[in-house]
Amino acid sequence: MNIVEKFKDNLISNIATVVAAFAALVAVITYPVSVAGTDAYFALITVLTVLGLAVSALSLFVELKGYGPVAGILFYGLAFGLFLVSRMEAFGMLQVGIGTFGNMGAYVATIIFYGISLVSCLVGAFFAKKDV
Amino acid sequence: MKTRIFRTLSALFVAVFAVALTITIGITAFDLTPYINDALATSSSKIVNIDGDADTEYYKSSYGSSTEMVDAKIANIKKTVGEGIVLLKNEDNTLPLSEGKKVTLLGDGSVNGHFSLSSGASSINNGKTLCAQIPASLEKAGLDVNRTMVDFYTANNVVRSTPRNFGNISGTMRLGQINPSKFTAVETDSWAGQDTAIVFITRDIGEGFDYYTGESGQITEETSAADAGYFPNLELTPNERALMAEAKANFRNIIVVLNTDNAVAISGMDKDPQIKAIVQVGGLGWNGAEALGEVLTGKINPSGRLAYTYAQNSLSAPATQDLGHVDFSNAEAVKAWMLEKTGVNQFAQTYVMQKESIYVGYRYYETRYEDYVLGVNNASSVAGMDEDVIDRYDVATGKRITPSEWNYENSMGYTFGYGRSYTTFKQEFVGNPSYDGDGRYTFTVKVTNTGNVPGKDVVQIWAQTPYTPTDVSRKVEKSAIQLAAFEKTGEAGHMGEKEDTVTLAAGASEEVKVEVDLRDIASWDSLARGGKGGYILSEGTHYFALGNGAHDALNNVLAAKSLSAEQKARMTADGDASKVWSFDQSSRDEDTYSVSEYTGADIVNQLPDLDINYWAPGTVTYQSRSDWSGTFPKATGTESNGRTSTKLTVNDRMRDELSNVREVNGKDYSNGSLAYEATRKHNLEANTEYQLSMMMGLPFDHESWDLILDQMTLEDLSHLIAAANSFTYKCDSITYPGTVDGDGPTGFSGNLKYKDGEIAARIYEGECTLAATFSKKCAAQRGRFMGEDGLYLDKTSIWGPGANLHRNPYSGRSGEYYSEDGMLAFLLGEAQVVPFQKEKGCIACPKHFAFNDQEANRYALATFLTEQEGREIVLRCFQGAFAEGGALGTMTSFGRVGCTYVGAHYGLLTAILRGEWGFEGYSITDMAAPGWTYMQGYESLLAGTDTFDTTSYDRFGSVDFTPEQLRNDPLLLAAARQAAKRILYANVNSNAMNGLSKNARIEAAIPWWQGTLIGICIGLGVISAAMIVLTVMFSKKETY
Repeated sequence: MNIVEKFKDNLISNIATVVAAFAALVAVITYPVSVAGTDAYFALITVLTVLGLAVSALSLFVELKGYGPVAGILFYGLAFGLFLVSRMEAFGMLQVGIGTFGNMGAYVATIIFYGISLVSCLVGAFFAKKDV
Repeated sequence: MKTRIFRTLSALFVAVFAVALTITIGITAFDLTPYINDALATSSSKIVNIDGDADTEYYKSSYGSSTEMVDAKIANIKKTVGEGIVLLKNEDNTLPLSEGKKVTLLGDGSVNGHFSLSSGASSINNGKTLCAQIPASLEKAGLDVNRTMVDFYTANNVVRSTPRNFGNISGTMRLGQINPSKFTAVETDSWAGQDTAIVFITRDIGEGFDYYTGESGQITEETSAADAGYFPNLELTPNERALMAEAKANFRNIIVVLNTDNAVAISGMDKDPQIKAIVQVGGLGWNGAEALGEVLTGKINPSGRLAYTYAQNSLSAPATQDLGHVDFSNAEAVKAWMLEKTGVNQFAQTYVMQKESIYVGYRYYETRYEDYVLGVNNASSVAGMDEDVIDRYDVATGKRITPSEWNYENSMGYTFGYGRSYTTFKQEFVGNPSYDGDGRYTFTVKVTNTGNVPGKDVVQIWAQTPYTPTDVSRKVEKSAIQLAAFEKTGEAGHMGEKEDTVTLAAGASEEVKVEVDLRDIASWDSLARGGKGGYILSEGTHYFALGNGAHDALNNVLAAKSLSAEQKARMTADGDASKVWSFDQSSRDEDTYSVSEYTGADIVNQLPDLDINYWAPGTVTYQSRSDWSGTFPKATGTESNGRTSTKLTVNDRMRDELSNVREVNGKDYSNGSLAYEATRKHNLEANTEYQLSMMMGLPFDHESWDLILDQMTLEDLSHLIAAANSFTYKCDSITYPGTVDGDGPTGFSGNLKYKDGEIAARIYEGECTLAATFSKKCAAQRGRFMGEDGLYLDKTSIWGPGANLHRNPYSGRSGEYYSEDGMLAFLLGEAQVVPFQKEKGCIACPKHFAFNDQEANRYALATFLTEQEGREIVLRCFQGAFAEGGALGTMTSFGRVGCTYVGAHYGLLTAILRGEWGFEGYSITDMAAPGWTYMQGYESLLAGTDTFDTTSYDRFGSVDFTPEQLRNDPLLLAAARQAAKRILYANVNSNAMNGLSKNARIEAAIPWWQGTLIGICIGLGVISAAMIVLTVMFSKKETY
């Protein structure tokens, strides 16, 4: 079975996987904007997101018995959690009247895109076919 | 289908598990636990006492509960504001107003008061709405307030801008005040038949920015494009002038309330016959508005005195010529050089040139007045009054006034120290002062209430020291008058915690004793003692005068001199020579006052690098009273005030120092004791069982400190010094429980709850309002209640009081600082700190030490001034809190001493603070992000900084504070041990030790929130695993 057929055969799940990957990719781009540059967490968040992207990509080509979205959501979830905890420090700095939070629009966008990524993984998990 | 469902559930639980796990681990890994503990009032440790029933509550509340304490605290805030309200003018006894008097409140400030809440250090959610409001407070005091106008202003909801300019001039600056053309018939009809209006002129305070002196480009909501180009924020705005005209057209009696900590221009209001009364009050705090109502109705007889000068024009002082945003002419080149040389941007672009020398506030206006009267030193020249310097407007017409010469009445509105009462007082010396043989005179002053109502009076002793030819040649400046000491009636013998002060009944007298220390009026001479520098008393007559404010006292001094008729004719009042005592100094004394009374240290030049001429000789001529016209400052940069002159250029020497890196500037930051300690072999991480609590009450130089420091693990040591962002690190290796600390001058900020559940958000009056009380009792009570807050909040250090200088009216943060006068700040700082620390066990950290006297460009601002101004004016504001009050902490400023970051300036932090003033506490930087580099951690630690208000335990700027680094660098280790000792010494003598017996142990504990998070993670992990297992099981059975 070629790749196109594989994709079509598991269309909804694969589209959801692509959406999840795309949203995660956007999130990891808006993330540095939300903090007005990179910070100490940038590398780790990027690595976790890239691992999620890799799993998503892998699931399009390799037989993962429908567990690709579950593995993907693990990495996206870890990246998202780290993103949230990293901004807690920024809130702490703001609380004492100093520091820059960065771009609030980008911050909200990052949350939304990670959210889309996670929801898409759930959709992908539901519609995945094990024998494809 | 079941497989799909379970697989989806697996994904869902895995996702939630992943997020929860990361947050749980991240909170610990990124050291966020203290913040959450602080917010939720929880702890990650518990104390296990093994000493039986020993009383371990070393510092106790004086109240049974926080509720009981808060009631007393609120009453004290109101009392303090009542004593801090200054009555400046009261023609025809317009005040007090009678019970039931109908009044109309005009100005947005009537419904939107200045409460001292606008600064980042005093923020409380919804604070403005929680505080007592002005209209209701005036009604509570018995006035019949025109509610139509209250409703009008409330409905229009004018948002008043806080200071936010110099470098942030975009957008509209809203200073409030709706133009009266917006009044409809509903509003104008509402005051029909009334004769009295109360007009509010209001300005807020704010952190990080200053008010704006009028640089081209600023737009206010009310200026047209034509006059938007030059608009000083502390002049009356066009709408304020229109409002005043409207009030005068409709009311016979105008009462002006200046609700501000930034002196707005008086603009002729003092001489306006229709403005019958002027009342000044700074930040009102929680319920200060009620005190305002009671002052207006006479229930409180005002006894406040001005803590800063109100000039006719807000820009007429030498210190307003250079402020705000000015960058070096070659800033970009220097920045590029630093990036190349050090790899980091050291924020070295901006500076402020304080050319005024000692002539800050009243010292300028009054000194020039004496020279004007005497007809000397070009005092009457137009310098300082010409249109290049100020724009003066007639309050009624708005037309510009251009005087032909300088004179006092055209310049001064109300001077420092001035204030009136509803009664009258007579003050007289009782005999000559007694002398203790060591520089201290004690004056006895009889105060008699000669009026009809009880009241309080302030006895102010002012000094004039001679200005001699030697002073002129050595560039030693002398103020014609300076506050030497003060006391308030009714306080002697009533300084205890629950003793009320007493008012002086009509017809009654009280003898008040006031101690004057000659050390406090001695002048700094950088060339004294063969160039070593020192405090001097010049030869000649030294005058001490009573006076209601600086001007009254100076007129009394002038009355005691032999003046010609022509000179006397230039005086604004005759003066009273009977209120003056003097002595003659036969020769110049350069030695007596050049020895520290606190430590015995020889006092020598420590701040020569404050002076730009040290770095670039001949760059600046500072203001000198020897030639008012020739030395009146001109701005040093095109951005400042829109006036032009040459910007300062960074030379190579300055550039090297601005980098603040040893490898670049070649400075040896180590000192004798550190170098010695670096050579000693320490028994690091000794396996002993000492505990910090054994050091309670022992002196700073006790030999056992070495045992404690030896026992500390290097991880504890590095963490203790590396980061103290509102807490100090808990060091298990020596049983140190750590602390939770907080900001700021107007009380622990934030939406806090006391540990017994009461909401803590009751903001204190502005510190400047406290200063206007001229009351040591009020300062002590505020210290006590802030200490009570600390006990009920489980907090130890507070970043306050604020002791920076009101260098000019434009500082955005003036409400958090006492005064323009060092002695007022000196004496109140001492009074506030002593009970705060000694009775309640909190640690006072006066800030921002030092030279943070403007907010604009405060990060890394290079500050240039003379050492004389530095010592006599700027540092004097701090000295009382440290040297006399024994403050055990300090927060340093963001800026620079000349070219050197404050925290890395050995002369300031070690030689003066510790060497001359005997400071034994710890020094923390102002708040900094871990990545900031201009506050070089290594150099700062060696120079006298002890910890950093930041969040990373491993690294600050470009310096590692790891155990490995400490082990490998003997000098860094010695500095770290020194810093740790100072931090621990302060805290072992604080409420941080409450609950800890001599042999107590600290054990780790998991706070409920952390336990819950861990439980959630475990639960989610188990469920996720179960879901995956079920998915696999069903997957084997199903095809889909």
